[in-house]
Amino acid sequence: MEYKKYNCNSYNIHTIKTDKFKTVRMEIIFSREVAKEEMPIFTFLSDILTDSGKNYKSRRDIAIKLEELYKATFYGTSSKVGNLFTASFILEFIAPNYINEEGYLEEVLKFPFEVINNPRVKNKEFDLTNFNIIKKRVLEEIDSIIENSDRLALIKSLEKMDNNSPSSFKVLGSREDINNITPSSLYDAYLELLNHSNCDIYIIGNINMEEAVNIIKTNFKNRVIKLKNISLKVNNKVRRKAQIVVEKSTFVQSTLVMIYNINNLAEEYKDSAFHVFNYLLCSGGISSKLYQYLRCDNALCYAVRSLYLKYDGLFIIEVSLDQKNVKLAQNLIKKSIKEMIKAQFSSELVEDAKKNLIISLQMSSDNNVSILNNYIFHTFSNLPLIDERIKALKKVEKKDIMACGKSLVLNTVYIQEAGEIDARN
Amino acid sequence: MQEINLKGLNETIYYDKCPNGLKIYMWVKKDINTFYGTLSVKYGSIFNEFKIGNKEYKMPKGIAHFLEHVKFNEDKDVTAHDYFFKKGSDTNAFTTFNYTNYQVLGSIDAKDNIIHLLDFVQNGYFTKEIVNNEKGIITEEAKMGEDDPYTVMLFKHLDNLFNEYEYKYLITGTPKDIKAITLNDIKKVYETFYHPENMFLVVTGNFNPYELDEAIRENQEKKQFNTYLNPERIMKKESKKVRVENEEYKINVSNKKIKIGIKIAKKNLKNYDDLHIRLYTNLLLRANFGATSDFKDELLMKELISNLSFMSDLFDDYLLIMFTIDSDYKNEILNMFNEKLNNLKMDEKTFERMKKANIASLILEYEDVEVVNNIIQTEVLNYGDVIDNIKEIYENITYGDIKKFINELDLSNRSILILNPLD
Repeated sequence: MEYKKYNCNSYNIHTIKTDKFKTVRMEIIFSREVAKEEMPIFTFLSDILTDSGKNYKSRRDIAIKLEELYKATFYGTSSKVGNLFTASFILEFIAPNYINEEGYLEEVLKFPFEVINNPRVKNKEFDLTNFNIIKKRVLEEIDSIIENSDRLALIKSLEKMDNNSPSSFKVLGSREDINNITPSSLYDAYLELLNHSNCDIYIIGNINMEEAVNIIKTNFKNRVIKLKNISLKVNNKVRRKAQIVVEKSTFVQSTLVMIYNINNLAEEYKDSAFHVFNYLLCSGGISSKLYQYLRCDNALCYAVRSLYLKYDGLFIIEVSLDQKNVKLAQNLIKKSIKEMIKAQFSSELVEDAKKNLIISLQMSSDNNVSILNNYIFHTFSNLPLIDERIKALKKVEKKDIMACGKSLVLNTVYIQEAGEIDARN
Repeated sequence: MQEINLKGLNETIYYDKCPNGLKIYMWVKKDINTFYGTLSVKYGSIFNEFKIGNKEYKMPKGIAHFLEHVKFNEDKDVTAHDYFFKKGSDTNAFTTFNYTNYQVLGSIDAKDNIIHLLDFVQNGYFTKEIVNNEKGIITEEAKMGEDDPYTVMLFKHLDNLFNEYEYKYLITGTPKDIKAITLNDIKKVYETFYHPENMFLVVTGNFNPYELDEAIRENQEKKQFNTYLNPERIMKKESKKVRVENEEYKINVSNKKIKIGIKIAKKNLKNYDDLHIRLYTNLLLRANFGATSDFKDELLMKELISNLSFMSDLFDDYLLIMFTIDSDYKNEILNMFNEKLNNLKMDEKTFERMKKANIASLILEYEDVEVVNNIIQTEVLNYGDVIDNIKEIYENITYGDIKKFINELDLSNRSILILNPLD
């Protein structure tokens, strides 16, 4: 695999040349610091920009073009990692050597730029029909949060933790945020995103990268900004005493969420030891402590989930279960963490966990999306490349895992209580 | 061992059949670290009633899924997870209507991992304690399904489409079904269906197929199996009409959804084999209701819908087509769908574009070990073997074939389900 970076003044192109995949993937990523009021409109924008264009009056026209390009895929998405917001435009297409069509690479690579550079805009306003379609879709997506008990509990627990923290901000925003967007304000946001955000373009696959870079340079220019350094880190406050929040729901199961701050943990542990800690505690599945205590020994639940938000400095445990078992689950989670701090796990388990994590990393190099994601965070936040991460994992010792456990400070216990079993119909 | 060349795709499937009946399919990709092994048992949630010879058996619903859970136990306090954890591999399983699938995904010692996959599934260790303990876990899993409106609406719709078929019941069973399952039920089902004759193994990724085949054969030869009893699923007679034509239902969804289900008797499509029914239906649905269709575009541009999706598949003697539409405009939508379903069409240009795109997709499919493994599983389950000329089949479809198929489809037998948000 050959990694290269091309500085194109107002943006960078990062290429990974490999003949391992039949697919070529390109991600055009605009990035900014998280700002609560900005994210909803940029999310709206990433959707509308891939749903229509000056030469494509609706998604249908785009879909036909993509089918003509041998079923290429193209979509927009937005996300938030720590204090970094990204609006991304993703294109995947078949490597040209499989189809032997002259000019295919140029045609497929210039397509996303044609769409992004030429939105369906008149008099500095987005087309109203396209606007209304996306507005309805985004509003429905916001509303649909109530359909998923785990997602709802997670969102609410973070808001209860601190609704001023970027960790609790939603990229979709609220109904009110979306209702405040107009076709004209959306166009202003378009200019802002394109002209005043960092931009990085990543490509992985088996193509002539020099040719690809030239095609991109020809089709994407006129940006004038200087790229900024953005820190991904969020400083979430630690509570002296954890808060307990209980809310009623209409779900059959209750959901328990426990949010911990990761406090004063040395940087060197964050990409290695903490993953081993999490693996032994929960993410290792049936063999982990939480699965053992909650599922195998006490049959309290089907699954336990843990979420390690490195850049937010948070560690979250979530479990769906019967209301009567919530207290017992809380106690078992606390007991498990205490045992991790006291190193009540064998050295053999540590070695197995390290081995398993290393194997997962090795396997991730068989997937173009995983390779690209790792590389994206390597460029954004110096996340070590896969080989370096493997080396760091090999060095993890029991004391490092204990340090990870010790860094946890319980912040919020959120309980989404099951509703009455009602006669709905 | 046989090497099956997938014509036009430049891919090879290695195939062998052990003397005890176990079929083995392998696909090799040299430049990766990963291997993926799946052992499929042709026993799923629709096999609750079966007969051996003249003797009939009726099992509690959800038993196939229950068996999948407890099958991971290998001995007292020993589970398959322990072995695979040591090997650095991931193991999992799932149960569908038609089969149960056990998997291992890893990157080292493919041979040992695959042999252990066979060993733990072919080991009938079950105890009362294991069965009782698992009931609590599976009940919580079933409740998760009750909290998922998409699971609820799918099975509600299947229940309205089918009168008798077991497809209408939850794969997990309800908490009451789960409570009714006994150790004896588990043992009976295991002894009846978990026989190499009723299983097939698919391994994809980086390994030596000849070495692996030899190891599998050796492993199978060492094991004793009773004679396969040829159990027969008792298939209830399903009447042609949908069970419920119209229903409104309240559920935990945020916005109103309209589901239109169409039930078509396969005997009305007797000029077509299952593969062609699936291919033609898929092309037709994409052309008329997919992202490139003018119908979907019109509904979106008129702001009558925010989303429209569809699926179709064969369920024994019936072809089902199911649409899910997010819309507040029930009457307009039902009228427009009625009109559209009575006038399906496809122009030649669209046909050629979709055909070309489908062929490109076929080439791309042979890349990811999990995708390829799933393709092989699906083909073996649906058609009894891998299809070595799928590209040729696509290439040979003509515009005339599609036009003829449209004329033979009767889409009048429908079940409408309206899902309203809770108050």
